[in-house]
This record gives sequence, structure tokens and C-alpha cells, in this order.
Amino acid sequence: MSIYEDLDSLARMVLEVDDKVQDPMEVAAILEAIGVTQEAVRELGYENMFDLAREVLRIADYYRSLGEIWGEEKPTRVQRLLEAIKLFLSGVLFSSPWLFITISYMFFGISLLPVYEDPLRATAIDLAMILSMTITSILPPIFLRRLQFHYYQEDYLNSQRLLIAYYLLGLAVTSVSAISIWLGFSGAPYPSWWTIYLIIYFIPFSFFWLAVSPLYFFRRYAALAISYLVALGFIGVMYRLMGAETYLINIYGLLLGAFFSMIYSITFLYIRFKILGVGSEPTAPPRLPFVAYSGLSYAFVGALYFLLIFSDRFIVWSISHTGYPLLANIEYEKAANLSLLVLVLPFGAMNYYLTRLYECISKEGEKYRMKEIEEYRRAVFKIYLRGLLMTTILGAVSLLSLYHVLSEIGWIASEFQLRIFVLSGISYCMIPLFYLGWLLSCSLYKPEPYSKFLGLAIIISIILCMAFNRILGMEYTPAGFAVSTTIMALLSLRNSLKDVKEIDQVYLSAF
Amino acid sequence: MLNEGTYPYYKGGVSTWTHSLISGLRDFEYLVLTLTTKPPLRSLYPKPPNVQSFISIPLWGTEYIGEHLPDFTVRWLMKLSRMTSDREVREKFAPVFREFIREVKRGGRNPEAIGEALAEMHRFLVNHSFKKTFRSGHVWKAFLEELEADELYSNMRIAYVLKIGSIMRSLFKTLAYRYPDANLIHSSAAGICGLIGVVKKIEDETPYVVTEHGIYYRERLLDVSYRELNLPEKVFWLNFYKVVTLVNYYYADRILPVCEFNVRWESRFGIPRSKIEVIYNGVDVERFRPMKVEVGENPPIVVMSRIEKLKDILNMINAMKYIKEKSPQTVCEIYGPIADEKYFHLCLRKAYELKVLDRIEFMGATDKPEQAYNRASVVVQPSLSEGFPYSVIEAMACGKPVVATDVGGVKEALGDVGIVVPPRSPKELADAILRLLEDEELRRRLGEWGRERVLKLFTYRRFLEEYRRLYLEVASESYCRAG
Repeated sequence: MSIYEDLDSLARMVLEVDDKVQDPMEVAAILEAIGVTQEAVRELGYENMFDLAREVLRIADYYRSLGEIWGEEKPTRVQRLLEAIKLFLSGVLFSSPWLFITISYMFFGISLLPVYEDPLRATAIDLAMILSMTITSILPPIFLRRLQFHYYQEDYLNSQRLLIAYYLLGLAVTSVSAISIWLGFSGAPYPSWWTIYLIIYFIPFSFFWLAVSPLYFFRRYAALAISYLVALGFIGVMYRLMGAETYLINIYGLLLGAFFSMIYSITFLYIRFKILGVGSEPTAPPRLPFVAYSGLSYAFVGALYFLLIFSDRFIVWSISHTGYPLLANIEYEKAANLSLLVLVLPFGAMNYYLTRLYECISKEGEKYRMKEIEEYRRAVFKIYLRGLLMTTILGAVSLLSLYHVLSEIGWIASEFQLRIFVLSGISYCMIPLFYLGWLLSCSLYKPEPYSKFLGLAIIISIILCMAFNRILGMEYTPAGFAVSTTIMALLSLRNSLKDVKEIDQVYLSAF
Repeated sequence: MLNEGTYPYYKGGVSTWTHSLISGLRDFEYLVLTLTTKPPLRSLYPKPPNVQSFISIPLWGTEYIGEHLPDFTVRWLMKLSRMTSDREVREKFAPVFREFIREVKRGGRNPEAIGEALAEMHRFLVNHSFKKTFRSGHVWKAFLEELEADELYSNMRIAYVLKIGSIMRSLFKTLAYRYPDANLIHSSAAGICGLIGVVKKIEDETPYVVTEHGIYYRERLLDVSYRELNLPEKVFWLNFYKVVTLVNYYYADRILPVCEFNVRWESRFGIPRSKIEVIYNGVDVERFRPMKVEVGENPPIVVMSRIEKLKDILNMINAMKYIKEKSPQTVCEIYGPIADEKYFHLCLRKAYELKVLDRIEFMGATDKPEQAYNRASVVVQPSLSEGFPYSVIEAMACGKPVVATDVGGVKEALGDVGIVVPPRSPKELADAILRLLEDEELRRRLGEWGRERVLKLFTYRRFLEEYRRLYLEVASESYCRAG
């Protein structure tokens, strides 16, 4: 009994360990832990530890009644501002692919894929891009979603295993798909070089999409931006150095960008596994059927999404009246591709508000008490509504300003192109609204309804695009696409608004 | 055999105890079920021939129940999912879940109601999809309504309610597995793992015994106290663990503390003394015996302990500052795995600040503890909380003098053949160690008496005999009750 002379000092010591002690048994546990022995208890005149604890708790209660002991630290205005800038930049970087592609093409004439005026070549390249996007979109939701699950539990060994499995399977899927595409098109009435051309682009595109996907899942948007810069930078420099038009430059550029992303992702995980994961025990790897089972519905939605966003093109290509089963219309392609730029701004806003929403689910939760749960739900709902509003406004602003700028510089030269641009642009204004709901549902592990929405949208799009194409003409084809994306966005909104209204339950049941 | 975060996936006192018990009682067949945080890759102990299998129940780290076990298939998962309707969750699961939460709120007044609720939930969860059940709004609504109805909890921040809900759901995974029939269930803690014993006792009247090393509830109290928690959240967890411990004690046929010290705590739960029986740990005196090992001119001080907060390695580091002043050549060797990385770094920093980093060697886990003890001039146990520590009786069996903190059953183990000091008193710890370092005769005498005491009271053979008798006794009592 050398250090604890009286009950007063004991009570202070107990409060130092835990200023919220409530139960005499808890006090007894702390007393034992801070060195109060049975002899000490007896020296203080108590029969046993629990009697002493009761008395110590009484004194601790008295001290607590003298004043509030714990408070909450609120972030300063500067901290809040810095946080907002960080989120905004992250939103900008999230949409970096479109942003960089646009900037590099508009200002430097550098494009990720070669630009041809020849419809056959253009068809091969566009088809390679669409097929690679659609096919590779199946794998990331299966593997990377699960990777994310382990990553956030600091299980870096399994994260690494999943990443490697993802790359290997990506390689296998790309190879098998390339062979299937080759076999599928070999009987088609295209020139022999065309299929090879398609395959040659399909492979690096697939690798590139596969390689950059983990960066979205790790939320490493700066690395994502750098991957695109590496690819575009290489293509730009090589075109200038070689001064000749050679399609291989784009392929090497894509492969280099993919290589950078892969090295980054592997190193990123390796460092965490080797340095941060020292204390974590090796865990059993997840079994493939379970990984596939949990990821299939996400993969299905991913593939359907890409089929939808290119559905109008397939209709246009298939009604070319040239004898080729699919043939791009260069004028249509130009206008439709330019309208894709509408996505950049609303995607940035969408990411900004989604990130804020995720944070607010817990941050607002720290502000509100249980009995104020309705206010809490309203607060989260308000942020979501603000996100919706800003995404919509930015989509509209983006469409209008692009329309103005592109008309001014003469990139949209004809009425034909104008109609395609506007109608496709309206569709791309709707896509971020769908994405807002879809990404929220993904992070809340509720992908199920979205495959139905997408399925319905694809059917509507195909029927209407064909109808408009035949009845009103090719330039009205994207109207079908616009109707379908609007319906899909509305369905997605209805679903996500319902979720956000009960965000506590939805959030809790997510994991 | 039920474990929680210990055998066979982690090293430590409870794991040593379990392995010794199972390996020694070859005439009994075991199935070892262990609650773990994540699905562990490999066991750290060889599987004794009388163990059917080691099965882990990970509470985190898997997306689906049983996905780490070969018997579970995606088809089975899909079947369970089809069998689970929202109406069933509302009518059959949510009311029982609500009853359980109500008991938690009250701090466990009616152990029978808790037990029945647990068994009912177990029956439901093994036949339905766990994920779908807990995703249902009815379960969350029941949880919210019960908390809202209480003045204290209704003031809880929503973020904490979400956190509690999420942890609770993970803990409930324990109830989502179908457990095989057994003649007797033995849990190494009156904790979450023991709930398996409780539901089996209620469902099949399987006899159930629980060994308490450290007192589970006491350790949770300390854990909760040391964490920065909001008051209602803290009260919730204290009540939750009280309920878990109480229901374990209530349904156990025998409660088997490893020392008398623990009995005081168990009695606080109103458990009749007749149900409690102390069985001390035993040590293999053939393996742990005085032996010649290579050691330099200055034999080190040896600490055999996991590196974590409860083991208070900082106490030893602080004591080394005083020891270095009087005995600058003395080195302290600390054997044991790093269980808490952050705490380990804290220890290193403290040692550096006190300029004793060169006097302390972290040796890591060892497979030959008997050699480590035999290297020692003095064996030290600086812990904050213990049951009946193996490190103390193993050191005694090796004929080494022991200085230990007066926690748990340490004093019962040492009797008057070692030196006990108050916990968290580095100066007194250092004084006791120095006293021994300076007096070779005292070291020799205490070492000899220590081994004699172990041979008399804490042998492995006696330990096994006690458990063998107890298993047969409890099983036959149960058999008689069943008629």
C-alpha cells in the first residue's frame, strides 16, 4: 500500500483510467488493474474489493458532478475548407479519364484511340473499345469488390491474392474473348485485315480497363489520373517524334498506361502487406464460388451498363445498308463521342456528393441522438438531394456550354450532328443520375434492383432507337437512348431515395 | 472444446492450457471450435490424435456464414436465402431478438429468458440466411425501438448505435452454425464462445462446463474502461457482457476457475459455491525441470509473456531503469509474440526514453520455453491481469526464483516461495528483482522450494486426473438426470 493512501486518490486514479465508470464491478476491475491488492483493501478497512469499489465509485460520482469531463472537438473553419477542397479535387480526379481525354484531344490533338475517317477502321476501333469495356466490366465487381472487403479489414494478404487472381483471370478472359471474337467475325463479310485490326485493339484496351479498375476500388484517383497521363503522354510524344501515323503507338501507349496501373496497385498492396500487415495473421483465402456468388449481380449490372450506353450505336451500325453486319457512321460517331464529354462535370459533382454522403452517414450520426433519428435521416437525405440537384444542374450546364463551344469551333458542323449531339447529351446527363443511385447501392451492397432497371432500359432503348431510326431518320436514333436513360435514371432515383430515407437501416445491413 | 481467440490459432496461456488438456486426455475425443476474428489459415499447434478437427468460427473476414468451411456450398447458401422471407424474420426472429436486447438493457435479470432467446435465435439462424435475416428492417426496427424506449440509450449518438448494431451482428454469427452433438461441452471462457454450450445445453441437454482463466467479465470491464467510449455505448457493452457471462454461469453444470482468486468474481453473479470448483493448471515437470543451458556470465532476467497492454511489459521496462542503475550488466529477455503492434512500439519508445533499450531484448515467441526459463537468473511476470499463469508455475518447475505482480491467482501459485509485488509498481518490482540478483543463496533456495511446490500441487498428472474425474462426473450426472 505504497501509492494509494486514501479513497480520494483512488477515485481520481479510477477516473483517469475511465471517466465514465458506472458499475462497482467495473471499478473493482480497474482497482485491481492499477495495483490495489487484497492487503491494500484490508488496510483501507474494507472487507473485500467490491465494498471498496462501491465507496470509490461514490467519490468518483462526486468528482464528476463538479463538472463535465468530456467534450467534443469540432473542426475549425480552415479544416472544413481543406476537407472540402480535398473532396472536390478527388471528384475531379475521379472523372480524370474523360477530362484528360478531352483536354488532350481538344488542345493537343492527342487521342487514346486513333481517329480514322475510314468507317471500316473506325468500326473496328470503336467495336474493340465497346467489347473490351463490356467484357472486362464483368471481372472487377467480382474480384475487386471482394478485395475491397478484405482491404478495409486490413487483410492485405487476401487482398493481394485477389488482385493477382483478378489479373490472371483478366488475362485468361481477354485471351478467350479475343479468340471468340476472331472466330465470331471470321465468317462475317469484312476484309481479312479488319478482324485482326479489331483484335489488335481489343487486347490492349482490355488490359487497360482491367488495369485501371483497381484504382477506382482503392480510391487512388491521383494514380488513375497518372495512368491516363502516362498513356496519353507517350502517344503524344511518339507521334511527334515519329511524325508518322502508326496505329501501334496507341497500342503501346495503352499498354504502358496499363503497366503503370498494375505496378502501382501491386506495389500499393505489397507495401501494406509487408509493412502494415506485419501484425496481421495469415487468413484463409476466400473460396472462388463464394467470391463469384457475391460479385455476380454487380458484374451483371456492369456489363448491362456498357451494353446500354452503346445501344444506340449498335442500332446505327447495324442499319448501315452496306452489306456489313456492323458499320460505323463517322458523322454519327463524331457527334456521339463529343456528347460523352457531358459526363465530365456531373461525374465530378456526383463523386464529391457521394463521398460527402458516406462521410455524413457517420459524421451526422455523431451529431444526432437516437431520439432525433428522424432529423438525422432528414439531414442525410438533404445531402443526397443536394447531390442530385448539383449533378443535374452541372449536367445541363455542361451540355449547354459544350454545345456552344463545339458549335463555335466548328466541331459540330451540321444539323444532323447537332441533333445527335443534343439527344445523346441529354442521355449522358441522365447517366450520372443513375450512377448516383447505383454507386450508393454498390457501397451499401444492394445491387439487385439495378439489373432490372438496366434490362428494361436496354429493351426500351433498342426498340425506340430502331423505331426512331426507321421513322424519323438516323439523327433521331439517340432519342430512344435518351428516353431509356431517363426512365432508368428515374427508377434509380426512386430506389435510392427510398434507401436514403432509411439510411441507418440500409447502412447497417450493408456489411 | 470451445475457445475464443485462442487455441489452436494463437499462442498464449489459454492455448497452452487447452493443448495440454486435450493432448493429455487421450481417452476422450475432442472437436475444437474456436471463435476468431478472421478465418485463420493454419493452426499453430499440431493436431493431437484424439482431436477430430479444428474448426474456426470467424466473426469478421468472411462475407457469408461458413464460406471458409468445405462443407458449406453456394447452393446451400442459395437454399437458405430462398427459405428466408421477410415475414418469417418479422414473426419468428425479430420478437426473440427484441427479448434478448431487452434483457441486455436490464443487465440480465432473467438468465432463463436470455438462454431461451439465444436458443430460439440459433434454431432460426441455422435454417435461414443470416445475411437476409440481419438485413431485414424488422431486426433493426426491433433494436431501435428497444433502445429508444430507454432514457439512457435514447440519448446515444446514432453513429454509436450503428457501430453497436454492426458489432452485435458479427457476434451473432456464433449462433448461425449448426453444431455437432457432443457428450459434453467444455468452454475455456464464460464468453461468446460459451453461448454455443448454452444453446446446446438448452436444445439437447448436453452437459456444459466452463473454465475461467482470467474472469471473462472482468477482462471485458477493463477492455471497455480503457477504450474511449461514449457513456451509453459503454453501459450497453457492460450490460451485454454481463448477460453473456451470466447466461454462461447459469447454464454451466460446473464453473471451473483456475484459482481461488476468480471465485470472488464468480460469486458476485450469485452462483452457488457448490457449482464452482477450482482446478489449478498443471505443468509437465519432466519437460520443465532444471537443466544446463548455455548462458553468459550474467544470466538474464526472463519474462515470458505476450506483448500486450494487459501483460504490462511497460512495468518491466520501467523497472529496468532502476535495475540498470544498480546492476548495469543485467539484461532482460522478453519471450512472447507481439499481440499488439502499437503497444510494442510504445514499449520500444519507452525503453529508448529510459535509456534501457540496450538492456532489453525482445526474443519473439519460443517453442522451447523450458530453455528460456533455464537461462534466467530471475523469472519475472509483470502483468496487470492473470488467471493462473503458466509462466509462473513453469518457471518454478524449472527451479527458478520468480518475482510477479499480485494479480489473479499468482499468489496462490507462488505461496511463500516467490516474491509478489503490487502491479504497476516498477520501483517495487525492481527492488524485488535486485534483492534476488544480489543474493545467490536466496535465488537457489526459492528455486528449489518452487520446484518442490509444483511437484506437490501443480503437476500435469494431477491436472489431468482432476479433469478426467470432472468430465465423468458431469456426464454421469447428466445421464442420471435424463433417466
